[in-house]
Amino acid sequence: MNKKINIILLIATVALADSSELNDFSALLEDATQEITASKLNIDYTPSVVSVLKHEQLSLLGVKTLFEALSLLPGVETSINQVGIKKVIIRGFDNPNNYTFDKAKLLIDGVGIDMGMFSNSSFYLNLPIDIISRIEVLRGPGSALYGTGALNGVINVITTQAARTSDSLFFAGGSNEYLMGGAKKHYDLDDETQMYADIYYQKHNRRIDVDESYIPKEHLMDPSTGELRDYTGDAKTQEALDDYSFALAFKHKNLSFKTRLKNESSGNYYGWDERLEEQKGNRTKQQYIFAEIGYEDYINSDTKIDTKVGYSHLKLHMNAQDFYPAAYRVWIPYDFSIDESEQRFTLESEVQYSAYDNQNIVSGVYFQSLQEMQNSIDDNISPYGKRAIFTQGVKRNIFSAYFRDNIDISDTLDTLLALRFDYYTKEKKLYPSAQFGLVYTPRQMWSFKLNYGHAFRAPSWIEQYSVEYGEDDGTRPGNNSLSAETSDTFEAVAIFKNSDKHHIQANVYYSILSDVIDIDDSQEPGGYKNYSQRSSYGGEIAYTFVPYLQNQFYINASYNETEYETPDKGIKQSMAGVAKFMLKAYYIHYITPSISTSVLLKHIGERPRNQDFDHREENDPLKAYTTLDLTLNLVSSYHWNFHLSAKNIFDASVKYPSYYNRHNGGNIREGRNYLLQGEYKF
Amino acid sequence: MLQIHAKIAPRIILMNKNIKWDRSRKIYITILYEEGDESSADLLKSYIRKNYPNGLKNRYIQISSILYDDFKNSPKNSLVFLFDSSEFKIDKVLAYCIKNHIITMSYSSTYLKDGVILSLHVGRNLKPYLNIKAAKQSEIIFKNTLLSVSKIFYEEK
Repeated sequence: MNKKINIILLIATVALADSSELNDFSALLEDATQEITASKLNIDYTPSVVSVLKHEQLSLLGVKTLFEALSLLPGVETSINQVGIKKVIIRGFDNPNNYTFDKAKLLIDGVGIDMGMFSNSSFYLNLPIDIISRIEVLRGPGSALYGTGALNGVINVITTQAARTSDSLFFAGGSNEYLMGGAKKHYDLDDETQMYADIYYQKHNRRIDVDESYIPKEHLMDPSTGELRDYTGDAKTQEALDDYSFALAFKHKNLSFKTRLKNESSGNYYGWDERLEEQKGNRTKQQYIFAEIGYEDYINSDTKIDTKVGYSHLKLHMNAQDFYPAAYRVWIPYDFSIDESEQRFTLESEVQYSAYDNQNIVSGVYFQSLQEMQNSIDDNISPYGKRAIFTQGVKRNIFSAYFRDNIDISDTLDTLLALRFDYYTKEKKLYPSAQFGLVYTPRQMWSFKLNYGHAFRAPSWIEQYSVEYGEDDGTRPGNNSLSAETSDTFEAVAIFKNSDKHHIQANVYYSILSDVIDIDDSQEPGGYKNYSQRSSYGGEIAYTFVPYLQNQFYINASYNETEYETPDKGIKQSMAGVAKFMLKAYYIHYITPSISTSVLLKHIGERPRNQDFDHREENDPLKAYTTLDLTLNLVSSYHWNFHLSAKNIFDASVKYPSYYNRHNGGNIREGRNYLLQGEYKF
Repeated sequence: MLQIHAKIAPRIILMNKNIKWDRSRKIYITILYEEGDESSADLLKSYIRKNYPNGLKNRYIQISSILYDDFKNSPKNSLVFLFDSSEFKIDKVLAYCIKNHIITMSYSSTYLKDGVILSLHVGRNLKPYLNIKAAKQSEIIFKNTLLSVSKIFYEEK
């Protein structure tokens, strides 16, 4: 009897030990799965078209900022408008004559960067890559996953706060008196408590020579005295930049906190109406601070809850000068200023349920309150005095609910279903978003994806609530009956991987754009309206070859055709000012394990002219351009990294679209320039 | 991915039912690389040491990283980790490991078809990618713990 009991006890002990080892090993694999999902190593198995740019590869290519990094991607064109607002145009979605209203959503460590007034996050695009661990870019509809603004893309920046990278001091210097310095540090207070801080400051004094068509050649008349004088400025753009940011993060067990302050001052580039200002220095200031507290915990072994509360505050101040044609060969210079501040509260709670082996279900609720705190425009020429640009006290409350289910139908077939509903209380409008995707992996070398998404962008406050005071008041009246613009996109993707050396991805897409919001110049006083349906289609291909685990060759090409309707004459044409064809390539070659060189090539094809201006004497398309950057890298395994870059080494003529085509052929940009970057890791 | 390989590789060794321990009871891992992959091999070594500073289950982990050309026969090996190399050199290493019942694991899963026993499969979930036929040739029998969570490699006809 004792022998039987001993045998039973032995079997039970062994079974328990095996079960314990299995649970232990399964937990290790689950953690590893979360790591690869978080770092997007398994993006080939998600239905969306996602590209990932990593800090290591960007620094070897001599890339300095987020804006520059995004220009490497297929289907993505970067541009700057006449007052220096940076634009990221994904798959041809743009508004050529409008101030930038983002068609893609920007997130910094998962926190959405929103601006009610302009729906614009361009002030974050000069974030230096020194504090960026990786950039995940989703091309296509993203509202089902990220809400409003993700009409045609999502840019998720993971800073070094979220990724455990080495601590360092970093610095850079280069052309145009560019200087930059900063530091980042992780602290382990104990086993369960970590802190992080980073800080940087960067500045430059870039001024680009332009021709005299940018300055009033005639006399200027002082409006108060009537006296005539000459223009006192010079034929150079005003692009001076002062930018700093400070971030802090804290994590203790299930509780987390993160905050970032970013403050940027810059010149007004070519001027409000592409007439260079007489005053020099930083004239536009933007300050943005966000903070978020999060708590995540497991309710049971299969259910995880994640709750976040966030706050952000934006402050904008702009001083500008423009010139008013008073009489024949006489201009009146006038100054105006814009001030705006807004704040946002958010609350989000999400539940992740993974009890079923082949499913991962996520559902959540989200609340946002975006409030205007003050806004005004003032000038010394109109009779209207200091006044609001858009209706004061505007508040945008959004209640959202979402649901996502990733299902492994079989060993070779995965599917994603995502639904989201956003209700705007002021406008009393409900905007649904959806995504449905299939991933078929018949063999390890091949993956095929089909994806459908419906996304939206709600109108900005400028588009909806701008106030009209009278003639020449400097603003365009808002249209408070505007609907959100929406997109329905169908995508097909094929991926081929041969070992870890070759990776080819090709995708085609077709989008139906509805209720596109654009300016309406067809009648006075002009305004904004929803336009009829348009289409956008194209294809992208990208090839990566890794002969060794470090040497890398990469090339991508894209073609896009997006319909555009000109706001004045209603002419239907291809999207003006946006390239149809682009090609980007780079090669990183290791001479020794520490020394490498890189070559980066970008070809941006011809950009169609805006046919609204065909009545002018000259109205040419923007010429194609090709730039080549060379970088020499010294990356030691101990402390020091250095990267020396010569950019646009052949001094190619790069031109961006001119506002209302005021300057035929576009606005000239920087030619050859140099950059030295260094880092001391500790 | 190197960090994930570093976490999993030592655990695989302990799932070999037929492992024979020497008196030192150490786990021996040899990392083979070609010129150009030296820093990757060093990284893998450092990640293993970081993940298992005190060894695994009271067994110290001894790791060496060497060039393929310098690989000397050493039956002490518990696991040989392979970075990319030529077919000839891979086959040579595999022939030795089969004869001496040593687990082989590769960074790239392409080498499973050449006879490597284990790699990692990155799908929506991460799983060990197991070549059972190659394991049998090496007379290695893995515990059910590993078999139950692995994706099984089937050679394409």
